Amino acid sequence: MNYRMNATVAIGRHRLRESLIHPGYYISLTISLLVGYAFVAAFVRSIDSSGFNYHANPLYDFVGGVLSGAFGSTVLSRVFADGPFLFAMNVSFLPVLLYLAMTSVYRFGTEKSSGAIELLTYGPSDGTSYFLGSLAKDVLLSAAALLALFLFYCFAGIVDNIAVTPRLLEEVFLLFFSAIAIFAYGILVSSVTDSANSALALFLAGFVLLAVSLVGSYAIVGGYVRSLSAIAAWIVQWFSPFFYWSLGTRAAIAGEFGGFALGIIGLIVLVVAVLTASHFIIRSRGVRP
Amino acid sequence: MIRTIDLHKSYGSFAAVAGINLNIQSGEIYGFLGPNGAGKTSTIMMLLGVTRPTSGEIYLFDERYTPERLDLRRRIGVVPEKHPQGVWTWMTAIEYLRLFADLFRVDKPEKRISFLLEQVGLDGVRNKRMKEFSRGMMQKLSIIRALLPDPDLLFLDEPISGLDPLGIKQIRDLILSENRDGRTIFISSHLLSEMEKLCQRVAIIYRGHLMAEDRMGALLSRLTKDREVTIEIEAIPEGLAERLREELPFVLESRADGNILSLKIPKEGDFRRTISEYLIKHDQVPLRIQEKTLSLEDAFVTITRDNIDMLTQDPAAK
Amino acid sequence: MRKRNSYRVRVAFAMIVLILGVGTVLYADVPLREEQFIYSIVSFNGRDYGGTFVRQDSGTFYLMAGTDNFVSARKTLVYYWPITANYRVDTQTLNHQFDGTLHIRGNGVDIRLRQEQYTYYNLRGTYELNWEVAKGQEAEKVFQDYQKMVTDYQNGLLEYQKELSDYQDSMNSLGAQIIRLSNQGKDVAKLVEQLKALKQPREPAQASSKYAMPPTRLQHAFIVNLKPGLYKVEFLNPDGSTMEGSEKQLIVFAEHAANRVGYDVIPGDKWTRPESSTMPGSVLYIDGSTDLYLRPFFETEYNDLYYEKLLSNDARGNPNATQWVKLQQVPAARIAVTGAGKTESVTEEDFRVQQLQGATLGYQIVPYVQSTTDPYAKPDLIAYRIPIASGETVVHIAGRASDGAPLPGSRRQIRVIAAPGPESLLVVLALLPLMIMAIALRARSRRYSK
Repeated sequence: MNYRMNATVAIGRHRLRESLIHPGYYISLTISLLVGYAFVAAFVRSIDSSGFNYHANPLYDFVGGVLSGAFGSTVLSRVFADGPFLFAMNVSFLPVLLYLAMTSVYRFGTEKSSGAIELLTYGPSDGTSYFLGSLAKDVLLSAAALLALFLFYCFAGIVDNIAVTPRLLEEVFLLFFSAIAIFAYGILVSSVTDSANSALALFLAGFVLLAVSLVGSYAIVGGYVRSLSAIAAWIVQWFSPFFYWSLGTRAAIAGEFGGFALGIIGLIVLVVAVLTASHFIIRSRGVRP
Repeated sequence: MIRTIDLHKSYGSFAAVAGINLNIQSGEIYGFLGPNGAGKTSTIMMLLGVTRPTSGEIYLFDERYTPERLDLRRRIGVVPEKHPQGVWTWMTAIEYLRLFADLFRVDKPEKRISFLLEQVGLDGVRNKRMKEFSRGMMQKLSIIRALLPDPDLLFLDEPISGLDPLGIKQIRDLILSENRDGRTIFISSHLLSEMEKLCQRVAIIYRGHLMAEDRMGALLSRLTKDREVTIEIEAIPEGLAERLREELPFVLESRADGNILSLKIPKEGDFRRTISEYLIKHDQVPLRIQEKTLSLEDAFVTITRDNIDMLTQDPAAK
Repeated sequence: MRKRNSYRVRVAFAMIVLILGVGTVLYADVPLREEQFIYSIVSFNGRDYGGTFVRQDSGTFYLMAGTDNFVSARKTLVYYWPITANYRVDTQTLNHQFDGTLHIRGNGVDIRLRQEQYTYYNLRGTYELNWEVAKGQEAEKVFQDYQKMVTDYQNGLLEYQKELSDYQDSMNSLGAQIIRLSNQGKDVAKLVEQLKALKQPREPAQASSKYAMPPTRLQHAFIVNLKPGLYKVEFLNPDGSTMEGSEKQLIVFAEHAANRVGYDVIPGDKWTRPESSTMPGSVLYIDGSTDLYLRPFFETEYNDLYYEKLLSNDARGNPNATQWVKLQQVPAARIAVTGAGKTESVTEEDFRVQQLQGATLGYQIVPYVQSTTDPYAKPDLIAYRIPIASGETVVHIAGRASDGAPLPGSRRQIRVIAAPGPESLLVVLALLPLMIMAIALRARSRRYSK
């Protein structure tokens, strides 16, 4: 194993251990599972003789109102075509995803400004192995969280007779790779900023911007408009993990494996591109506080 | 061990390091001196591979060294001036050391860690969280961390800063012990008295330029303008100090303080016999004559620009 | 005197309020009518032909690929109708159709269309989608043939009514004679024979019996039939100049997926309020309180925005979503129902909604039996009954055509959720990470307190 790889493993193992002996990850995972439970329980109480009636439960009344108002009733019916799990999986993964991403960004900034990363790089490691180690930790923990959520929904399916379809498993894969892309962007903003606070602010701003851009592209509109903002949004989407996630999700719902694979490949390419950029940025800027 | 050829580092138009040629021999304790802003840190960061030189070359262990040479960094141990604050405080000493043992691929890490902890007297606190460590304990822990991979080269930046006298002695002994084992030690410090005790060779940097690089004795000799001789006499008669200054041409200054007579004489030449003969001639019995060489610290305190010319003069040309 | 004055003041005040109120209602929402150039569109939407128009402000219009669509350029009055929140045209006041050329370019095409005479109609058959378009001379012939059919039918109907009247007169006259002579004790056999020999006249066949929808009246328009893509459109006056406001983008779109099968889902307790299941392979969750009645239909998938805009140019839609459009019922299908390890085949049946007797409110759906007393009686519901037997929680259904071939996209799961399961188990699972956290922190604390 070369030194960079060794450093990545050593740092990753250390960060993983740190996460497992602190309460934050467990709390965020519990919140995720409880959110999932809430959606499952509300769904079961929204079933009548003709099917899923989202007006029958306050939670789904709100969710259904928002989704159909923003995206149309067709989107709503597609999202819940197999039951609640597809929607619940996406929403319930958010607490863990945001916890991991934000703490890593903040941690990167704090360790950089305190000189901790520099201390590590006195030895046989560098900035790249540091962020790869951090990424490895986030990847493992998000994989564990997705597995926990998937198993939870499988069990909920048995308890409440709700179908677990291949679409749910495909969504797990999409969320996994989307999460990695989001972590990669966290690394990128940490590489270009000097403090933890500015890194976190930039990360959150970027996250919101890309999410809003996705929502905007998916919303009900009045027509085909080729405007400057539409062109800008078209350009931005190719750099957005949400774009590939939505591409893959729509394809998975429609049963189109090609589109689903394209979404995954797009996410992988995005991850590689962002991490490569981060490598060169951190190599150029260094890790000194 | 370490060699630099015309090393430069610029930040924009500001030249932090302007053409430094260092030559650090294997097995020596090498001191790196200079005032704040002289370029010490920039030089050290390049030697450690943390920053990339603007131009010039660095050779480490006779191999061309760049920041990508992680394999060479495995042979270096570094004790920085300040330990990172606010991070890793949740770790115990043993967890902290295990991280670096993993990083450096230390063989039999638990055994090595235990050995080093015992050596510095920290074995009893191995399971204590670092946030409960004192400054001295952290410094010792930092040294252990640097020694984990049994490095050929040890970089120390202000290794005894903030330590109590016992701590200072312990660290000093440790450094000397490590050097006896064959380790090359590079020290950067403002505490010139300690540098005097530890270093075999020193380099002085100022405004990014290497002002001097020489053995300690030779450098002191170049820095010292004159010497001080103190003579203990049973009782100093009045006027003796002035008469000595007037009648002995080599006496530059004289003063009496109780029963101690202090004379400033040129740094070259041995005048003890002449002084003794003069005192005896004047019915004074010198109980003790001691020569006090001006220390590196005395001559170099907040090394000012006034010394620069002197430093750069070749003593052979005088 | 004071009382009378007070009364007058109140009346006057009421009158003022009334006048203002009525006046406000009358005058507040008078829509502003603006003379505009529009494209009037009669387009095929997968099921039938519908109409919309493209205002001058609208930059794009939408048509379906591979079908004949009819576009005409007009000048009319356009106004916004706030009650329905859409734009309308006042063709009663102004409706001038321009004569010129429609220039379409883009997607490898550069054509100039002239207006043609057309009609369209739907022939009655096994499938409902037997739309035909006739153009030019053929259109005229088709329409004339239909006109003749209508005229022949009307003439036949008059003839029939006359014959029916004569028949009834003859019946009445003979009947009266038979009764009178019978009362007199005379032989009426011959008269009875005559009565029996009377032939009831037959009603003529309806003119439009061969049509599900008869040919529309002849009109002139540009007949646009293009491949999917983006085009630029402009209307050219006879002198070759471009009509102001006529330059538009045209999006021609095709289906995403065609000929899949969806279901009307009719629960036994809400038979007047059917739901739809359009997503192939989806899961239908029900509470199992009643049987389900399904009606399979063919459906096609289109881009949501494009389809909505096809139906109405002012509509809004989601450009990144698709919708399933119901086309027609699947004729003579069977539904294979698999549950508890066995499969049965369900065919379409007739059902009647029977009100429950006594104090019980509600109704039940029972099999329909043809009435012998009421020849005009018809079934209330024609559907496929999917029995939801007690204990069966998962049922799979799949459509089969009349020849047994599987119907694409017709598979569904039906899952019964009668009541929530033991959800406390789910809560325990959700809290499991906290338990693991407690163990991990405790273990570390004990390990390092030594």
